[in-house]
Amino acid sequence: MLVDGDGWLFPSAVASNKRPKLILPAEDDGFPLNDELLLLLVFVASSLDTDDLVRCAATCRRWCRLVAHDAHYICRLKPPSERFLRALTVGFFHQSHLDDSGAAPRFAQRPSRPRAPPRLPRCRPQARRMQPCGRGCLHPPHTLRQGQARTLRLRAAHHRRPRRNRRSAPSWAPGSTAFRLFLVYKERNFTASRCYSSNTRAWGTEGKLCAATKVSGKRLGEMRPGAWPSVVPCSGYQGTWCWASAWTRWRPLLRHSRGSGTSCSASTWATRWRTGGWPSRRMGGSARCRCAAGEAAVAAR
Amino acid sequence: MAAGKPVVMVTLVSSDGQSFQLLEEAALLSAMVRDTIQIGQGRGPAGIPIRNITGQTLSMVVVYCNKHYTAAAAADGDDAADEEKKVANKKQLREWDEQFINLEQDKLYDILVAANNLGIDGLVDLCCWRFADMMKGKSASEIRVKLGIRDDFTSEQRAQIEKDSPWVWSRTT
Repeated sequence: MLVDGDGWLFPSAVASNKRPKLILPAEDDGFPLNDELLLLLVFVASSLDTDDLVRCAATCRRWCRLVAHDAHYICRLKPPSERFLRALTVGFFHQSHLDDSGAAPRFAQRPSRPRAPPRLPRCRPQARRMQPCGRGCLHPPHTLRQGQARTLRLRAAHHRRPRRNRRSAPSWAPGSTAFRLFLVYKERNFTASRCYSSNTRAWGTEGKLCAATKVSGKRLGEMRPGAWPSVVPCSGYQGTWCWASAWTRWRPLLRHSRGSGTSCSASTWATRWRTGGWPSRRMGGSARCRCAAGEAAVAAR
Repeated sequence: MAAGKPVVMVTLVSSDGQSFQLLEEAALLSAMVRDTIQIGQGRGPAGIPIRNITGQTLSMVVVYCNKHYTAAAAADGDDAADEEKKVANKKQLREWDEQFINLEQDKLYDILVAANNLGIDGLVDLCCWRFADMMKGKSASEIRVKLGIRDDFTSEQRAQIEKDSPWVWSRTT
């Protein structure tokens, strides 16, 4: 299923009792249970799945607020949702626990269309697990501390070949182990970016986007991926989720590559940012995304 | 209940002054009662006052505690009973639970609040199961109707939901 943006569930779009951004009449849903009981006993403790929770959020403003603001907490023990996880995931990191070489985890990409299964390396079934963090080499840069990054978006390449030379352009082949990750995140006063390359097994230097390309957190949330967006948890950031997506616009910069591939520096990315513009459709880090991220985190354990 | 063990009764007093007597072992299903008795209170004639819980609700909670205590005592007494009998008893208790919790919504809310205040985990789980059962697989509008929730979204918010997530208005297929 093509998943559309759930901007209405984006926490910043939901009026908060603490810091109301919108002047709205008091919540009046006529439901006698208070927030705590509703959240802890009904949403968290019950057997409602993620789809049910989003439906609950669509019933009234209070329920919407509770689900949107505590999606990660609510969904941490929920069973994975087919709607959110399968459709959203573009891939996952994999590393066999039998592998003691210290090599970087492989990026096993889900197909952009669900008819072809992802290609996984041969290993024991129990070794097939998501491993966005742990003893893999994919740790975020040390300069990023918990709570420092206000908004974090993780974007991966869209691996479809160019439409014109689909036959002759082997820019990417399923099963390629090389990958690049591009982080865009908000610091206190500026927007920054960093790139990780599986070839060098290292993060590049942090790039600061210049004032002309200053992007607000809201704008980051509006970054519209391509047809198959995905959410994966980012290692080391509790409470901060990465937003991985397949976005054709960034294919020249953020592509899976064999060999050395293209470099992806913050400066070139900033140029792209400046000139590329933003898609108009909204795709927020909604509760749905956070739900899916929570599911991914659960699946990763 | 072990033979020869003195029968100790506990009195629970609801917020509207009604008293309910039950076996101490049955009352110990409640964490709140357990804590009260552990600190040496609640065994006197005055009983244990239960605030914010009316007599009508407390009577149902007492029925639940008595039933579950009796079932647990019977299971303990039949140590040699075969597995099939245990499974049958468990199934029977589950059916009784489902019948017990099949209540009107107002009573269900009261019992959930009471179970939470008294710390009766089994009853909390049962209420949560009932709530989930009422919502599971239903569309957003059906949940509203079922639970009597008022739609207080603004027209803009409603339009946004319609636009972004039209699937919430349909049931799980």
